[in-house]
Amino acid sequence: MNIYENFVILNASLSDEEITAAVTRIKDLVVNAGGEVIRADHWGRRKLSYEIKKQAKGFYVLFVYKAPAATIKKLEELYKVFDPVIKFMVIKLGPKQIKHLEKALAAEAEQKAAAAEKAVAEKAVTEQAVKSEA
Amino acid sequence: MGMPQKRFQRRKFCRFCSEKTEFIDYKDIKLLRGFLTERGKILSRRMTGTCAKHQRDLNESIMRARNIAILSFVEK
Repeated sequence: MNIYENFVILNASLSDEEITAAVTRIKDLVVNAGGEVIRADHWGRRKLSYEIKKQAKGFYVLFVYKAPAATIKKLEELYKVFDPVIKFMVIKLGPKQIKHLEKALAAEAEQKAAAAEKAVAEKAVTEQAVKSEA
Repeated sequence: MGMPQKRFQRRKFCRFCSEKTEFIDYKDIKLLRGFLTERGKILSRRMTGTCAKHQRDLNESIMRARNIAILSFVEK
């Protein structure tokens, strides 16, 4: 299993629903082919630095997968015939990048955990306050 | 003493070595822009003082950024 980073530029003239549909289709393909989606960041509509397929704007989506090599082959085949995609790039991450990614993911998880804890603590405090009032 | 002062230029150093960067991210456009001319060409090692290893990494990142239209191949 390797970790891959995948940029996809979708047609910006598509509606938001069509974009989410396209993204879920890509995700489904990865999951069905034995991969795991670690991240799917929407960068949103951006101006392209140069025209691609006569488009000046594109909707950027950044995926991070953990998947075997065969999955990526299937994915690239899909991109070639999948109309909403105007450009894509798949990159295999090196050991240093993987380390960095893991750190970032761990930090995110910690933040989430901290936020959850805070919420729980606040809840407890308010409950106590309610009890003391009663 | 008494010698004519030679023009002395401060020695350039590799930014990535001194900052101990783990790797150069191709998504970090702000950083990459600093190593390009106004026309979008890559600056030489002589200009920026980057070491050979990091110049190679930098090249790769810039090429990737250009591939997905974050950076342009030619600016106007």
